[in-house]
Amino acid sequence: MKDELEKSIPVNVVKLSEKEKSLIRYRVSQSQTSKIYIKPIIVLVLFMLIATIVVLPNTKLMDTADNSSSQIAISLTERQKQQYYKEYVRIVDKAMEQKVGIGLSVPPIEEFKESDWIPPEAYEKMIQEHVDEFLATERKKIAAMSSDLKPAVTTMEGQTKKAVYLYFPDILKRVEVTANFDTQYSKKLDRQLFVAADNVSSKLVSSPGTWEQTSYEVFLGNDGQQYTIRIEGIFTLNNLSFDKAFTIQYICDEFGNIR
Amino acid sequence: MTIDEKERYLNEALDQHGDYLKRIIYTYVKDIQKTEDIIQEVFIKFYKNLDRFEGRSSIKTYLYRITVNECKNYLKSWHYRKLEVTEYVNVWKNRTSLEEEYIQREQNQNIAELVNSLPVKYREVLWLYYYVELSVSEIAVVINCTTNTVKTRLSRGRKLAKLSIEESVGEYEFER
Repeated sequence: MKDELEKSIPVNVVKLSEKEKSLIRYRVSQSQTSKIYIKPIIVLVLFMLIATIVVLPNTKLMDTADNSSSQIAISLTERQKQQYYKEYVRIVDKAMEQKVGIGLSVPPIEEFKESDWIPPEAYEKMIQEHVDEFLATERKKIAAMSSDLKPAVTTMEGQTKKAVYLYFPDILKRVEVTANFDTQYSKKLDRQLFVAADNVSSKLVSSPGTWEQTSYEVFLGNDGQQYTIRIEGIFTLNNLSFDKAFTIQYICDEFGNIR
Repeated sequence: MTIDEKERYLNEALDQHGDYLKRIIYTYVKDIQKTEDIIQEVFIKFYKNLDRFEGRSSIKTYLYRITVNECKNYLKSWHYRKLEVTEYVNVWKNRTSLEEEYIQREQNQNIAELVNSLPVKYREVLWLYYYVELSVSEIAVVINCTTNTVKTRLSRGRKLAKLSIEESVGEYEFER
């Protein structure tokens, strides 16, 4: 059991390296050193605080719009909060349109604390970072499984089958894509090329969960040597659904074999 | 406690528990970079709070408690309030159907995969018990709950992860 669990830990997490230990010791020693300077800092902060209290009543308050690029939480009126909330929802909806396979939503407005309100630009950046992080994880997880994927196979009936892995939060799913391709000899290039693709379907081959394909589009490229198919669908598990779009490539070699 | 003593404790903790703590952090956050950040914070907190360490628990339990708190703080951080993320492992809306779902999984599925796909509250007790080999009472201290809660979560977690009978039966096992 212990060994089984350990196998699931990535190799670069298994050990706390000497370099990391040294870094920790260094940071600990830095935190010690910083104690020495803490008194002057406290004095400085107190001085600045007093100066602010004395000076602030005599100066005009800055327009809140000037703070729009700030990452720090800001104080807003109820009307501004409503506007910001609408923006947050728009930003998240836009992110979800990418159909990366992640489930994002904005919590109810009543759950926002004063310290949670940030400018929409900062919110958008935060969402994009979250999506990018998810995509980076997806790339890593799929790359780790790439050796498990075999080239496309064409059956006697002319159906070409090829599998891909799709990543959803914390779970990898294997999906098999089936399509019919037509190839034709090109005198000009002296080789076989793709001429058509249709009947594209996809199905989940690893349980649990369900996959429902909702649409597909085919793109012929590289002078007829490559088909790229974009497939969209919905993966559902335990009443949770994730929209996902992915692409899969098929190559036609000079003899008309598809891989 | 003198600085020398504190440094000795730190070095011992790094050597004896560093590897395991890092692995446990990963099981919570599932992100290598974040794991590396958190492990640093854990040891800095450990060092800073050594003066307040009263010896009511072992250094090991104390370290794991800091670790679990740091991980949970991270999991509760910004996006849990400003953004709802539907994460497969964190959702526990319909326990009955989810249990059935897990139980129906194929026999040949990897145990670790099953354990790692469980919600945090079950996953953590299984890792702490089977991997770190903490006792039920130590886990209760680490995750700040009662021993009965730990036993219940272990039992349910084992059921969800389909751990075999040899691994799971009997109250005797809880005596560790």
